Amino acid sequence: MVFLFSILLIIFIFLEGTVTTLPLVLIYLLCLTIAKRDAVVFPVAFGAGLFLDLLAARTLGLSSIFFILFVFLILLYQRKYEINSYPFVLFASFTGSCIYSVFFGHGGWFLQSLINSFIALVIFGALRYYKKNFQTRI
Amino acid sequence: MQRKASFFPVFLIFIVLAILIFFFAQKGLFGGLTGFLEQATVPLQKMTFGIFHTQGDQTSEEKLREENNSLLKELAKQKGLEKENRALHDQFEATNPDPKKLLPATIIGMHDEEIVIDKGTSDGVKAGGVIVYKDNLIGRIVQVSGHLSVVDLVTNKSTSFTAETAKTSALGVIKGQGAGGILFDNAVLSDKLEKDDVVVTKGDIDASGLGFPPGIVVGKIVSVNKKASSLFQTAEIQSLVDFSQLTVVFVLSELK
Repeated sequence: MVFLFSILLIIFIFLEGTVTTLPLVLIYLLCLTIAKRDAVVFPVAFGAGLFLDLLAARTLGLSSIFFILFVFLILLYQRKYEINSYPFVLFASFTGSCIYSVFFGHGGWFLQSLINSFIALVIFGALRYYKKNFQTRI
Repeated sequence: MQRKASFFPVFLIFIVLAILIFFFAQKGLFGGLTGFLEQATVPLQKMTFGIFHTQGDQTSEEKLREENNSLLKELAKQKGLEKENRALHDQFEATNPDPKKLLPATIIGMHDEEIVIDKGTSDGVKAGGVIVYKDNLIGRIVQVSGHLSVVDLVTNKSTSFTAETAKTSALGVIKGQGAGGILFDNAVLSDKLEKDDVVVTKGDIDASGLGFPPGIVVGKIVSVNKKASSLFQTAEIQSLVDFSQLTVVFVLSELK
């Protein structure tokens, strides 16, 4: 599973760094945070952000700051509320994508956030299915 | 509370680290390191871009459009020559600018209104440089790193520069509209704007030799919006280049 997650992260970073403005890495981190629910997501967010900045020719560290804060907010939220649910994934991916698109100046933020939320739901659904059928900790 | 204690120190460490990297990167202290890493990632980026960016076959309609565009450019060039001829009659000595230096660059990233090219400071590229393709204006470099540059397309909302029409010499300001739109704004009502007239850059080069040189084709007028009650008239411009089909562009270096 770790291998699959790593491959998916690399694909998302390259896609976002070259051909799309969809915040794919952001939804990846959202799903990873829901699956793991611990501090191991912070180094992943940090590394993914640096790599993405490098590919997109942005100032190094900018995406890392955004991703780390995003993961932090989700982890804070999960102390009081259930995050392992479709409504939360929909809300978090849409809000996160909106802020991300506006922050990095991408056009069509509403449509992009909608598409991104749909992708997040699909990934989250796949994760849930895997967990339910194979009974392993992701 | 137990969970907060477990992730909060890790969060602090990584957020401080990220802020420090951002701060030092802004000061340009990671130039060498990012340059080295970019060199390693550029081939992979080219490959990714190549996979997801396929050029479609040209239909006969597209070929005709291209031919029509080149004829329009020829006409604009002829008008320019006529003007130049007139100007030469008026003065004996004309100062020729240094020949334009073109540096070919491959597009390795394309987002809605910006592209990333594989040339950076190590190739002599500077922020503010102009990107062209076959005498057509593509955009302006807004950010440069060791081996990469980010280019705002002419359709980007941040783009704004002076331009003139080739046939009627009407002056105006080109403004990117986003989503592929370009507007020729601030043209006075007394000037004549004609459909299909080619719009070229007026010339806006700064002291360091960077900026838009004159005579670069921005696009052609597709519609004119003229109201007697308005102070200015506007026109919608369409670039003669399909940006999504581009794979190679040219960096116009300093024009000193």
